[in-house]
Amino acid sequence: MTLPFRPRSRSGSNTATVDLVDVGVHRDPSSPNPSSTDPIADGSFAQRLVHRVSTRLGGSNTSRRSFLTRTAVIGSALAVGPIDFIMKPNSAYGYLCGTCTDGWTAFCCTINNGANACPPGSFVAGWWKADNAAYCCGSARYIIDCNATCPTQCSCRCAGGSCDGRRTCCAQFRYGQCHTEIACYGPVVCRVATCTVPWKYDPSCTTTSRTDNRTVDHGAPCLSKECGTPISQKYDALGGARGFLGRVTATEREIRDGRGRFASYQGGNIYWTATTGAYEVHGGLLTEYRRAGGVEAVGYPIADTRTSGNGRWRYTNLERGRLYYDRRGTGTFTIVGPFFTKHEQLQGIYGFLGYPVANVRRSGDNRSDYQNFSTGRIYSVDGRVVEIHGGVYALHEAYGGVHGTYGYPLGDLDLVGDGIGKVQQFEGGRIWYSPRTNARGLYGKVLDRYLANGGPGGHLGYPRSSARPVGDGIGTWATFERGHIYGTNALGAFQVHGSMVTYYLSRGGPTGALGYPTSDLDPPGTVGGRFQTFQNGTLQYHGYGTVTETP
Amino acid sequence: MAAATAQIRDDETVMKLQSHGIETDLPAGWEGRISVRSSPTLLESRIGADQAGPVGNPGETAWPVAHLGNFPLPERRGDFGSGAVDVMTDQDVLVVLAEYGPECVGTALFAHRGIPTNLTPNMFGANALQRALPDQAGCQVFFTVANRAFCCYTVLGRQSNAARLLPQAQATLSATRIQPR
Repeated sequence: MTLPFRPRSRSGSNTATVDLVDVGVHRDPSSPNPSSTDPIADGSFAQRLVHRVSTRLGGSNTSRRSFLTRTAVIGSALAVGPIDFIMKPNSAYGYLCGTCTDGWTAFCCTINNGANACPPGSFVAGWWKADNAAYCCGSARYIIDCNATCPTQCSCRCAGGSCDGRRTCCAQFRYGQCHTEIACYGPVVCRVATCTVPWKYDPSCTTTSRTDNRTVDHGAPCLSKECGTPISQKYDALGGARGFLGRVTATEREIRDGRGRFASYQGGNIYWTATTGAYEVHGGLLTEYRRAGGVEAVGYPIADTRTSGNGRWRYTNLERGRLYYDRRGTGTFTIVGPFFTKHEQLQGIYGFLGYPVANVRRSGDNRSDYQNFSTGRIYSVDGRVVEIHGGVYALHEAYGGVHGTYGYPLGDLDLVGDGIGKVQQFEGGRIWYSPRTNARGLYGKVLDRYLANGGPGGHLGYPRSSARPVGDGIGTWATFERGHIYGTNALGAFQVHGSMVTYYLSRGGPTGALGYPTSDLDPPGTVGGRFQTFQNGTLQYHGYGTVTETP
Repeated sequence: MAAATAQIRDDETVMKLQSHGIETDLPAGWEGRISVRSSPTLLESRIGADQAGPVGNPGETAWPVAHLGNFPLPERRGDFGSGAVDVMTDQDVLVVLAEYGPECVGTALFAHRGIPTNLTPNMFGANALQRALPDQAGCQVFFTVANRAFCCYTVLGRQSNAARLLPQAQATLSATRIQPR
């Protein structure tokens, strides 16, 4: 390795002779006085002009480029050829990188054979940070000073790098957080630039933080961006600070679960785990993600935000759920855990449940959790996750929902098996659906009779009405495609169909002279004729629509 | 950034500045700031705590830094005075008191005891600046007081004016008291 040091002159005029350690000054007393070699120490006209002009031309809120322009281009240009630069500003780039007079120390990679590390004869003596550094993909950048060890074996000079001509071995200044067991220090030989926290870079460094954001963009050709993390790569891929995420607001850091990391930006966050990769969450979806409990509750994102095929929804897939944002403004929602699984089984927002219209809620009876969708609902109750949707859902709600006649669903809506209808079982009854009859519900004795008589596959077909009270405070009844069922708790329920219904209704039905049926009509071929008994009489069916009544 | 409290004393010539266990009486024409930057922390995994906050990385610890000067201090300053030193004139002097963590107490670098109040011209050098600027000179004294570790960094706007500027810095440092934590 070629050492960057040059043997220092030991001439008396260059050597400080006063040892000030007794008053707390630990600068190396043997370090040469740089006044004869420091390119800035004599305060020549050109150097003063560099300082004044570059200070005035730059602002406190400059972009990286303008900052570089200020310190490097202007400074260098003026230092090297002030009159030319003033008279011919277009030639400023011709003076680029001549920065020996900007007052800062060169980077180690410039003078240490490309190595971004303290060269021999120096030690890690202190550090500071500059925030929001492009070199660190928006995170903090750490500048670590390498001060010469005592006795100093180098002297002040320009580093001479083609694009980092800053000084070396000139500034006898110490930040002081590292190797505090070493009191004596020589000038700063060079600076290490890293995105690694200094106490990990060198364990002798303490965590005491010093900040100087004016050095955030100091660079050299031998320094490159440290943007190797998946999060920073994702950030870059999304446009960095110019993208929709904007500037860094909280640098990359671990999440307490030990699995992942995240970084925050003006417009959103990026999350990463080794198993999921790095993905962003932003805007209203991020707000909802936080509300839903973040990574603990719904897991890490497994994809970037996407747009639904119909253009209405923005959504983010998570390990245990999905975030939805409605661009029409209805809201932002999370479908999580078993609700997400069920919803996905039913083709998600393109299935018959439709899109979410609310987040998961707890039921009033404290038995279940449920989530509403545009055309249905999912319940998680007693260990089962069941859906209810469409006309069945509407009917169920009309009868008081889970707190009403039918109670909680015992299963999903299922096919009857006849190629026509569907049925869903509830704790308190069943609801059938067919295109001809829509959704109708049965319960109690009427349901029992309907099932006993073959249900939709029997003579009655599908119900045309739901079971409902007769109005006398005693019985219930329902109509079907081919008949009726009437019932009471005391008598049970029976089917009345065909011509018998017409006659029965002409006699006032259950509240008329005959009262409630007490049997079904005898089946065809019954010896002695086909009869159906009622509370107050008997009807006989003679075929061809003929019915007679026997008291 | 936590800020200091200041009050004008009865004689209206001295401003008392007090914060974070650092107290000083600033003579007329001086101004000062005592502040602590926010420390980044490991954020909650339960998102919601990850709003825009201090930059840097978890683990960094911030300690008080006092900037005292006989000139208007710019709002944006590096901890060792960058930004402020850029606007100093020949008549200006800047004193920085920067605290370090307790792990530094008792180490060789911080072995000197007490606030330095005996600054002399031979302690200053143009090469002892954080960033070399024409005519300026600086001096660093690492010390421990009240079981707290500090660096006193003093910058003279013009080294040749040390005879006039140093007494001002001396007076300010002599009027500075640091309490134990």
